Amino acid sequence: MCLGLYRCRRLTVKQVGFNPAAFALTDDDEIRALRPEPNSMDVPDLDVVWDSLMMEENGMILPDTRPGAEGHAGKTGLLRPPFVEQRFYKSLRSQLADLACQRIITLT
Amino acid sequence: MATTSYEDALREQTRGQRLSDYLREMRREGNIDVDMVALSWRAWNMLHAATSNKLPVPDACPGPDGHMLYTWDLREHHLELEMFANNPAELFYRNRLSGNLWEFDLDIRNLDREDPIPQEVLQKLSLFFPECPTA
Repeated sequence: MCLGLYRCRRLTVKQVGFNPAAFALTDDDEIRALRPEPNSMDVPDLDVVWDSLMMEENGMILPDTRPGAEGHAGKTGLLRPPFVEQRFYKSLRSQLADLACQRIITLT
Repeated sequence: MATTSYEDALREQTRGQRLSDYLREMRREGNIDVDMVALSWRAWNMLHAATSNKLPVPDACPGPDGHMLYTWDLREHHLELEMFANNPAELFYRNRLSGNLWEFDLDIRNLDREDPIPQEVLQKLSLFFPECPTA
């Protein structure tokens, strides 16, 4: 089930808290649409990127093609530049948490 | 109503124990060090005592650099307490409806009877008190 969600790339799956079977589903476009409140032009848009799992083979770093090595989705744009007030990023972070709390599933 | 209050108190006591267990678990996993465990536990106990035990147990999450984040959420109110190894803790409030933001630096290590938790911090914490049951 999780791998299917991973592959469609529109939903990001993130494990939640203590429960290893609880996951938050977030829509990638909703993440990209988040803006700090109040807005600031100094804050770039968030993005969702896909990182393949890599492996070393014969001294070369290559994409890991073994079964189950799907890689993972990650967010970019949450690292605050030193000249930008941190309240903008804390606003973004709390909105991101709100978004993640909207859809939490528990696998049984 | 008395039963509800008792159950609420019991649930909060259980959550407090879970917070303690969680901090120790994060220490075992290497997400935070022993000093951060102590600071986080001290912060919770001081805020809890300063609010006459009305403040609910927060959700907790370690950060990437060994710091600890507490959050409280109730309706439109969101409050964070972010604790760092070498700097004062940062409080951040966001109102989901009005968009109002508020920030405050709180030096938990130096809080004591002579230097108590400021009134404006207590006012923000009071937004998260459970509503009193009607008699």
